[in-house]
Amino acid sequence: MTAADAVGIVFGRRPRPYALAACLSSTVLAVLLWGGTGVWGDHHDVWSVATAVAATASAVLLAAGWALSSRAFLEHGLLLNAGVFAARGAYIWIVGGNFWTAALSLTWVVASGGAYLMERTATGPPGAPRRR
Amino acid sequence: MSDKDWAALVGLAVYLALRAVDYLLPKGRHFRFIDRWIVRDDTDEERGEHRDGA
Repeated sequence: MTAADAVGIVFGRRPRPYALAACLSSTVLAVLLWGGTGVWGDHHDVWSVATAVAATASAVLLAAGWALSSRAFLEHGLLLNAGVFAARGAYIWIVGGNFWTAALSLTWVVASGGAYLMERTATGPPGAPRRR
Repeated sequence: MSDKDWAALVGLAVYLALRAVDYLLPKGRHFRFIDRWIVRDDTDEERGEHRDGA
């Protein structure tokens, strides 16, 4: 049984579960940042807007990376996901919020940062078996 | 600088640090543990499913 048999094909593309999860997390974070309803609060200063733009770009790039089978889009989406969650975790830490809430953001940094580095060291198209 | 400024700078620093790690990793190499967890699959079906045909 091939890997494709095991996980199936969605719209002609191999499913990317982690990219989907990261895309959804970036989307949620973008909604919270643009709406000013999350721990970040008011979003009218330049760094808040920059973080919201980065979260939005991450979600769009991850979705486009899967839809277009573009490894470059996926890599940049993962990198931005790690960056925006690092900012969120750092903010919660700085303002003295709950440690475990900040740690939850840092887990996304580790996961997305690791996924980015693994994508960078892989060969072939996204999801393809590695060949030498 | 406000708390948000510092937080955003941490995010930017993480972004740049990951780019730096990627830059410093030797090219043409991959993580050894990947070989331990996957097996080669050379079926035609596997090769034909990707748009770019690679």
